Amino acid sequence: MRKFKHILLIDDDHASNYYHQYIFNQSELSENIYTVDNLDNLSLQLDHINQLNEEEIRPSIIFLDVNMPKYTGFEILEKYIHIFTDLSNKGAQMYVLTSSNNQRDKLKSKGYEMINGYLEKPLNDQFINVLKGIS
Amino acid sequence: MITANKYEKILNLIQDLSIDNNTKKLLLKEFSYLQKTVEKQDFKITRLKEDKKITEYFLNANIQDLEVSNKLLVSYKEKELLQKENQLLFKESQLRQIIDALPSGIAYIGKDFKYKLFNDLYNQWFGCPEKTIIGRHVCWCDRKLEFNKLIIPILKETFQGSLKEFIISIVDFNENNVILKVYTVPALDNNGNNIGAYMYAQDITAIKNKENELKESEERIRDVFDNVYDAIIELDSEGYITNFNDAARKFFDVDNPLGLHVPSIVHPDDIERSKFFFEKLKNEGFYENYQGRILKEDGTIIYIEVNSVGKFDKNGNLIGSRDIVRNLTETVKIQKILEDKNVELERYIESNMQLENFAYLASHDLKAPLDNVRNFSNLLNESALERLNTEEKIFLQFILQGVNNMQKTIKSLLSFSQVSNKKLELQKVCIFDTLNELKTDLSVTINENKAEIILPDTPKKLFISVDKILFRQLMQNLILNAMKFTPKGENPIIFINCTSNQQGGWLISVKDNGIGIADEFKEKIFLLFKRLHLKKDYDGLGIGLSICKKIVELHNGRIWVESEEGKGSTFYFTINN
Repeated sequence: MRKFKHILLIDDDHASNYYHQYIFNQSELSENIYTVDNLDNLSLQLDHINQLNEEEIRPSIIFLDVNMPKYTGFEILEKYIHIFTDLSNKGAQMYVLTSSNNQRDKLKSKGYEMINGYLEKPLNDQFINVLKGIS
Repeated sequence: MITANKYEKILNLIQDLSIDNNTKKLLLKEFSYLQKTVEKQDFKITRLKEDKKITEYFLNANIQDLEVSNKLLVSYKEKELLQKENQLLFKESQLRQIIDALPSGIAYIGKDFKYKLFNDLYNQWFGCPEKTIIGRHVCWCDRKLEFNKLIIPILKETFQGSLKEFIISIVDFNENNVILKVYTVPALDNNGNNIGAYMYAQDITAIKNKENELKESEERIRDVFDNVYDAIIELDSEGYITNFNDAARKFFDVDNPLGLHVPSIVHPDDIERSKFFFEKLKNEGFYENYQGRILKEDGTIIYIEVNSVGKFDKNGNLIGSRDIVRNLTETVKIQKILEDKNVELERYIESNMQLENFAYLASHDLKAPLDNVRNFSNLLNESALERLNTEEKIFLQFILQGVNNMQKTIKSLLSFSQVSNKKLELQKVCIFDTLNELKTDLSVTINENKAEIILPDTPKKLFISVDKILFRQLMQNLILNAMKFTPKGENPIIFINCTSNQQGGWLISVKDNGIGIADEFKEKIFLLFKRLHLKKDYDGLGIGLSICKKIVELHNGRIWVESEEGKGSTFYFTINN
């Protein structure tokens, strides 16, 4: 039995998504990992995810990248705040997962109650273990 | 009251006077009347004799002195004025009525400086309510010190034959302050000999007060007029100065700006606009907040703001104007300094932030290890590929891809930092030639994309002052950008245009038929590393337009985009000359 049913990665970087999918699989953290990397119809995808029942594939952890084309992670968060709030209320944990070590972004993420933490890429074993422990 | 004793004495004295009996009777009679009224000090009796001769008797009885001196002075003289019967049109009482009715004070003063005649108004000003002043010295009233001081010399001159006039302020017997203008005129007898002076006084209090009020208010206005910071000038319909305040002197830097022709110092570039405002003045009667410049002879430019009100004749024709001119030069200067400082500051902050990143990212420290990664990955890819499983092959592909991306990033970062650190080398560059060269250089890409590039319809020898290398890079980036964002399967058509703008510089545009840009991104696209699309759709690092912006800003120009999604974009930038 994997600890998290579903993990959602919102990131445009294909390589990064591949890497994280790989290590989540290796650590047997989750049954299913899916990614949103086509940001053009993000709203539809998010809406779809949010409509899913608990029993189905609604994510229990969401990782959100910051540096993406068109909109930054924070802009996406603001744009679809109602969906993210909803997901958070339904028990999803949310993390900012980014390659930038930017103080401003760190502070910004602290401003959101629904964001559980600010993580720098790549995810390390220590964090994976924490996730395992808490789940 | 005169005591009975005194009265007796005076009667006796009159009896003793050596005058004819009729007169003596008359004096006694007169005196008896007087005795009943007041303690009279002196009096006059005028008597018309049977032979039409007028005799005036002056009885000067100092009653106080009677106690000691027992003397009564009676002077008299006969005025032998032969009056022809029919010439005597008015009786004295009638004349009296006339002179009393005059709105002026009139008096006659003898050469002894004593009043011989006065009217009611004169009495009100210089006399007293109960006593007559006939026979009194002009300086009798010690409350009129000022008058007393100056009247004697004036009268002396009048007796010599001069007409005199003076203004004096007095308190009349009703305690009113009155300002009088007094004329003195020599009085002559039939032989032309001076026998005294006429005084003629006019009440000018009201005029004087009005005058003072007017003067005060004029002074107040003048004070404001001269002490305002703004120049106030009045112009005739031709634009010549007809009146001005102190500030105008300073403003035009001449002692006397009178007659200065204002339209001829208007800055040549403002003439059209100033004419427009002049029309407005003619039609609407005023204009407000005209801002323009005047050009002085020495070449200095003064920035001004003018508010003007027209003056019109009764037919509605403009005959002049009153202009309030504010000098804005200092304000403009400060504004300019502030703006420059702001731009400088912004540039400093921006370049500082970016430079910090570049210095870190684009250094050899980053390049060297990356080269190692690339080299060894390539080696691994060649030697170990057959031994790797599918997953491992993917890993290796990611490594190679990542290294490749990073090398590109470093390369463009370096080119960006080179642009932002480059010293501008301005030279005359021919737009047409530059674009033609570019077209040749880019011919491979142009052919690949089946693109059509239409050059501006400008003269072949149009030169602009730019840094040649940077300008080429700018145009190249814009053209490549235009070609890149064309929907797949369509041929890019790119129009380049170049027109002169209002500031005397150039406006250059690059128009495409590409995918367009949504409003919310029209400014963001110029940010470093900002991309709007996924790599798989439109590859790129988000650096091309940042470089364009940098180049334009180095030339003190501005770059922006106008676009409609799905229809295409037009990038504009300005180049100052």
